[in-house]
Amino acid sequence: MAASKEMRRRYRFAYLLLTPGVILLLVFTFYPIIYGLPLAFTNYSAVDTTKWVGLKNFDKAFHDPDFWISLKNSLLYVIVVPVIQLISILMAIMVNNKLRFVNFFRVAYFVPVVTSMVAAAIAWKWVFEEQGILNYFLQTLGIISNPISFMAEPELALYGVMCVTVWKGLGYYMMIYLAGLQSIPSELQEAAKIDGAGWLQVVWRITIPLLMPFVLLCSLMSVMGAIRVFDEIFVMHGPKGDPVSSTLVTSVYTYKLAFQDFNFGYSAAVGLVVSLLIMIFTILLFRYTRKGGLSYYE
Amino acid sequence: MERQVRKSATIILVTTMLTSLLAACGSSNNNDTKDEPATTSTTTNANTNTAETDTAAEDDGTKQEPEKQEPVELNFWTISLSPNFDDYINGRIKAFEEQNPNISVKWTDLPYGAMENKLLTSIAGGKSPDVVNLNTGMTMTLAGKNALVDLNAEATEEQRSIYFEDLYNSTKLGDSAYAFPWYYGLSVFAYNKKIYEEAGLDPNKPPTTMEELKEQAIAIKEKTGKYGFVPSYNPPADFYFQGVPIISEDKTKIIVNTPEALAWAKWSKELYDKGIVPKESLSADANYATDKYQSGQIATLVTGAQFLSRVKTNAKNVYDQTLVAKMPALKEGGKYQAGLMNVVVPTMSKNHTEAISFANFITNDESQLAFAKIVNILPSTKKAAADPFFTEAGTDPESMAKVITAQMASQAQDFSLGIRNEGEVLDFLWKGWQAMLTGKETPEDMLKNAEVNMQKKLDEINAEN
Repeated sequence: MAASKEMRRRYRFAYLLLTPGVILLLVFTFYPIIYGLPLAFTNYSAVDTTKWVGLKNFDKAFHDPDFWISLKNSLLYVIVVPVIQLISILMAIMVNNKLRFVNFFRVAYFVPVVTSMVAAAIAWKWVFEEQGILNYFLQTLGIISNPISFMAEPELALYGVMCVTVWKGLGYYMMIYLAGLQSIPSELQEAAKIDGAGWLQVVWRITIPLLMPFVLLCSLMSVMGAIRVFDEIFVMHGPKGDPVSSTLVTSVYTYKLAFQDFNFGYSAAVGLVVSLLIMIFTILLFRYTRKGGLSYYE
Repeated sequence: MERQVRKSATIILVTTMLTSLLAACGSSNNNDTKDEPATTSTTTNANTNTAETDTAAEDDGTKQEPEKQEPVELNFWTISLSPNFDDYINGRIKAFEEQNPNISVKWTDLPYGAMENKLLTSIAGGKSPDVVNLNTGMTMTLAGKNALVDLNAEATEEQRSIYFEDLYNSTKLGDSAYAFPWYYGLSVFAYNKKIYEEAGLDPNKPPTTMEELKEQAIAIKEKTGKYGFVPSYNPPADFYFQGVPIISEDKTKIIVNTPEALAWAKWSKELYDKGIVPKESLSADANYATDKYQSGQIATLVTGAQFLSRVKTNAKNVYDQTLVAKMPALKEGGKYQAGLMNVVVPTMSKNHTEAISFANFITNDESQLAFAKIVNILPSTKKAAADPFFTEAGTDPESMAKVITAQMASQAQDFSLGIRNEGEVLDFLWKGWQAMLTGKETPEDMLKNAEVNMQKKLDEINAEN
């Protein structure tokens, strides 16, 4: 009886601690999401008369070339995920060693994470300019004779932005993988070495499989982040995703529809479609990567 | 216990969902009632009150004591004027309040990028400011959503008549006009004397036509490796000022596929393809050209006279080498694009008459002339523009720019189509222009496709109204 009373007291205290967070989550996350649902079926513009339009916004989206361009670009953007994951795993493995100055490198790799995205995007914009650092190096090394307009070429512009996302994300995922690496029992790796496995084999056969839960988590966050990418594109290429809509992604398009064209209803519909897409991606990712950790050996 | 907590959480979640669903539906009702009827009611009351007082005074032939009026507080929002112009704005507000003891004005300044969102969320939340400073694009968007007071219907002839007609008509939709024009800037042609000399060009002979500009840009690129100029692409306005109608008088037909448009498109593409202008100009923002000019990488700068001070602050050595001239004309004797700032009254304001009165005051001759004397801008009122101040020049680039732009003032116009959702129509031209420059479309195809798509969108818009 006394134990039950103690448990109740603990529960109450736990819920009390959770309450502020839950309230904030309800007000600033769930309420806007739920509010956005009915908006997707209206022509809401904040200033003009609002009418219920049924599925018209969704029909419009599926016939809207800009929506398809933005969707294509958003999906294309997901290619940053394997790049980020692969490099950050390698970085984590490197900084997991007991080397001199390893703490310095851990901090140095993490610096981009705490750098403001706006500052990072502006700095990268300078790197990619015709008279920027990248062109200077490429010309100095004799790789190119004339400067390339990375920012103005529709075929290159999106990849330029991807560089910023990769650069910003590496340190963040590296830290998660580092935590994962440090949780792997060292006996397993040592046993493999005794059995004659080389460094690469240890990494490939022991480390990576045991890191799978972390890979799943990081990939999931990275996929969602890639589909929702906004700041880098907005700062480097503006709200229209110029040039020639080559960097127009769904989040930028949603923003443009809502806050530039005042088509909040249509914007909500596009946002809803994108959210469903992210859900599908998440489910697929869970389905194909759920096996990991020690379950890999079961 | 756990079940109880789960039950409570479910009830809270369901209540939240229901509340939001009702709120969303409620917003529709709110808007239905708050927009149109409120406008009509306020307007009618204001007009009726004025008319009744006038008639009563005329009837008995005596001068009546003015009735003690209820105090009114006006909320006035501006774009990026604080802290640089605090003294000026506060001074004008004080002068207005002295003339209108029952009215007080509360001033709020917002950054350029924040104005649209802030205004929109404010209107959506039912707390609209009374007087707002907007550019023409934002004005037209909000006017198209019935969010602004029609000044042709609610302002007096005396209030409307002080402005240049072309500028006042910049925000015209049908028979309605939605803003009092405020200040504007015209571009001047600033150029670096040193780079001109390095290129073997005579700095005393700046280009007067676009063809001369092209020839000089080619010479500069060949001799110095630097760019001659950064085009500030604005295809709709450029076409219009070249003599392309863009839209028919009755606003039903799009006309962009013309020989003038084709010539301009080809001219621009040639410069782009040959690398005479930087490729980045395609999607460059307003700061790009200024940054490059002040770092000495570009020979010329097409800029508003008010922005030359930035070059002076950031790169005094380049500023000292700067000469200014009139903009090379797109068309002989044609119009120049004016980057106009306006003052509007949202329909949701509860004090239309007082708000219009203040909007007119802050943009009147006296206010604008005083403003022009502290910053290098041009006034939109006829009397203020005629002041001798605008003909007095010093020898520095800023002062010369002031006189040059003032001479161009009679040719100033802020381009707009005068239709609802014009941004959606013009978007096809912007996209087509970029597609053409990057080689995805020929100039001929670009104009043909743009015209077809713009017409389709215009038909949709006209069908909805």
